[in-house]
Amino acid sequence: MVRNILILILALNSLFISAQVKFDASVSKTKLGLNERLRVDFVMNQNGDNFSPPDFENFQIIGGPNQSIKTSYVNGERSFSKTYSYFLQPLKKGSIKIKQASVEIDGEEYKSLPIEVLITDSVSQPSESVTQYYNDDDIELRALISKGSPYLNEPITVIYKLYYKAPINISDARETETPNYKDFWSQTIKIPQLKVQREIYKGQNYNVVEWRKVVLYPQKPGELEISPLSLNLVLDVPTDKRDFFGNVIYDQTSQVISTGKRIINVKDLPLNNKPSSFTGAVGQFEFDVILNKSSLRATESFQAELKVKGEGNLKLFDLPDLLVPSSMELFEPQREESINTNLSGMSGSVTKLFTVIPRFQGSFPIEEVEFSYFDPQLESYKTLKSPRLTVDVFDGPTIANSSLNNTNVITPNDSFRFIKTKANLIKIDNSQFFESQLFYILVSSPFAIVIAFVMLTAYTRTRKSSTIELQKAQEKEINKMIDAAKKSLNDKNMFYDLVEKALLKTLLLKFSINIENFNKEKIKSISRDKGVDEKTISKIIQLIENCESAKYSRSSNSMMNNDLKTAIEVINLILKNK
Amino acid sequence: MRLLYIILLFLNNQSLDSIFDSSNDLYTNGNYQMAVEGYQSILNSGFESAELYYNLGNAFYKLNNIPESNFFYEKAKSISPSDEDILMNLSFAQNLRIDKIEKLPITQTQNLKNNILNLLSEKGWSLFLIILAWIACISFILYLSIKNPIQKRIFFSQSIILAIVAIVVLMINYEKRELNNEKFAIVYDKEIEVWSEPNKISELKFLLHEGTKVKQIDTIQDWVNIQLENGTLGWIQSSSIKTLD
Repeated sequence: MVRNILILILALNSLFISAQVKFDASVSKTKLGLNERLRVDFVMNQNGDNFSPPDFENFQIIGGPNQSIKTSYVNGERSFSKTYSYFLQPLKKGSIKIKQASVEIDGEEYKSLPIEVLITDSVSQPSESVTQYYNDDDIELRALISKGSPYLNEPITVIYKLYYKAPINISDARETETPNYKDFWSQTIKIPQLKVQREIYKGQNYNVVEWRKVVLYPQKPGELEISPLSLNLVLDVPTDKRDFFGNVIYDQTSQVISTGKRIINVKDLPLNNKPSSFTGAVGQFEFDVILNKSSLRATESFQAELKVKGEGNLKLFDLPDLLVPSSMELFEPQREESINTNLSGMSGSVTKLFTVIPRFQGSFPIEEVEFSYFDPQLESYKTLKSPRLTVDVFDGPTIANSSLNNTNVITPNDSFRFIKTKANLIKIDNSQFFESQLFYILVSSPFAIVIAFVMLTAYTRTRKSSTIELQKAQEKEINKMIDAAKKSLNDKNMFYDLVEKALLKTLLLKFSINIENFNKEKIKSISRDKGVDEKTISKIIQLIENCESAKYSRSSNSMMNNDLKTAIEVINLILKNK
Repeated sequence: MRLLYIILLFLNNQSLDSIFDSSNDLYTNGNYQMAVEGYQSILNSGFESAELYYNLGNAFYKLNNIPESNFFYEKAKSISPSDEDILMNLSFAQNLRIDKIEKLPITQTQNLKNNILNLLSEKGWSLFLIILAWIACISFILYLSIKNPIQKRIFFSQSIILAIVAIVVLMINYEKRELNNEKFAIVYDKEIEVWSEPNKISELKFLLHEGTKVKQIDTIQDWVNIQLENGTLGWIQSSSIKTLD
């Protein structure tokens, strides 16, 4: 508004001061190619109204009209110019006339002169096009990797930086190719606003923009590839053209720029001294197991918290499990993470929360939990152990796992029993008694005794019966002899011989008196021993004497009969004797 | 000479008893480690008893040593299978184990059989068999030698009945030996791997933890074929278990 008023005042002034009105048309060039552009300016030195441009036949208006007013004082003289500019694109070849334009100044109409322009064939390089005033050095996209050969699961950072230097300006950038972090666990760190910083690079001042920041945890040993990042940049590049006011005209151009493929050589973790509890944690950690209760009633719950705190690949490993006796109920653990990821990697803590319910009473140890990690700075494994914790459970049942009656007898108020006070020690004897030699002897001996007994009785019985039979046979023989003696009463010698034989046989049978030591005294003593009465003994002796004397003397029949009677009597007596 | 030996043995027993008593005192005062050493010195001098094993188990339980306490309670149980204190504290020790193994169900007859077998120790059954054999044979001899027909009849039937009982007891003896030949072991390692074959290239079946009782079935070099109480079979390395004799 102020400016308008000022222009108005100046315009009014000019009415009085100006002397000569000028209204001209000029072109930027009179000869141009079909693919080139033309600028037409209509300039007047007095302010005018009702400007009407020509119809620009055979041209296409690309830009304009642009109106500009210039006022200057030189040595107290004021000069004024007002310009209407048009940008034109020729539509055909040949000589084209730009017709008159008209303007009304102070109520009079002025007209410009027509201008002829020669349009030639298209030129190969439009002379008005942008001249590339920059070299490749002026712009660069770099991927800065913090460590080229990290350990497995050791964090590395990749910062993508765009370096550019004057005269280039960047007006827009777009990612055309996003890097692919295969075999890496990656986290992009957010850059809230792209900032241009100044940095000296290759000895020159550069403008630097951090385009992208990524933390990577290699998940595989070996040579891993990071694919390139490509940006499509819209650059403002100065041309050799200058505008009206001498300023360099910038033109926009687009360029694709990318980082190269990068190879990261990931070292595997050392195999020797690898603890068995190692589950892949790499970094620096602290480890602890915390119970929220150490003494509780059975069927109440307590919580055991396994906590790993520190810096490293916290999200990428599993925490060790808690081992509790089978008599406790262990619920699925909950994992809680509170992790910050920044350029140096993940830091924070991971907790595994176990809820445990003891079912029975007793004093239960919670096994030591071992946690191992690899410290890439010290290049060695570290093992942390939780202390052995004990949970006292009271007021609960005890399982009596008796194998005798396989049922779990639950006796609520039983407690741990005290030691025994009496030793009852015996010598350790691992030898098996059953089927040992002694066992066999002891088992078989009674049977052997039975068999021996049976055999003995059988033997004695058979022996007894055989002697009786023998005796009977002998007795029979004796009787036969007696009978024969009876028949041979007429033959004295034969008679006494038979009687004597029968008597001796009887004595032999009954008293076991041999014929060899056959004498009267012996017969007497043995017969006495056997309990034969004196009368019978004297009869036996008498009989023997009779037999002996009869051999040498005569004897009557009555005597022989008498002797026979005595012999029968005596023999029967002896035979009956036991 | 023999008498001297017996006297020495007796004196030795006396001193061992005093070690036992002093270890009991240590236990009572909470000095479990020392108590364990005392009890083990008795064991090392070649003496044992269910009470000694039981007390060792107790001391190890107090020291939170799961495999040792299970081991010694099982030892005590093998000597006196029906002692209530032993069974009670064994169940306490078993509660500490990490593995939970469901026992296979036992049928009524098996239960009855086990009850009968556990009435006497192996030696006891053998001695019983010997006594039965003697009485039966003596009765038979008496039957043979006595003339009185009533007594003869009594002794005869007695000897026959005793002989039948003796045969039954002999069968029990064989069963008992079979039972005693079942070798059990306690897992001593914190965690052991059970494989499907006696090598480490076969399939890893499962893990066992300290204190678990396993049955030894077979041994090949340093591998043992084991059976759990739930019937599962597998191979483990013999260094990780301790056999209950």
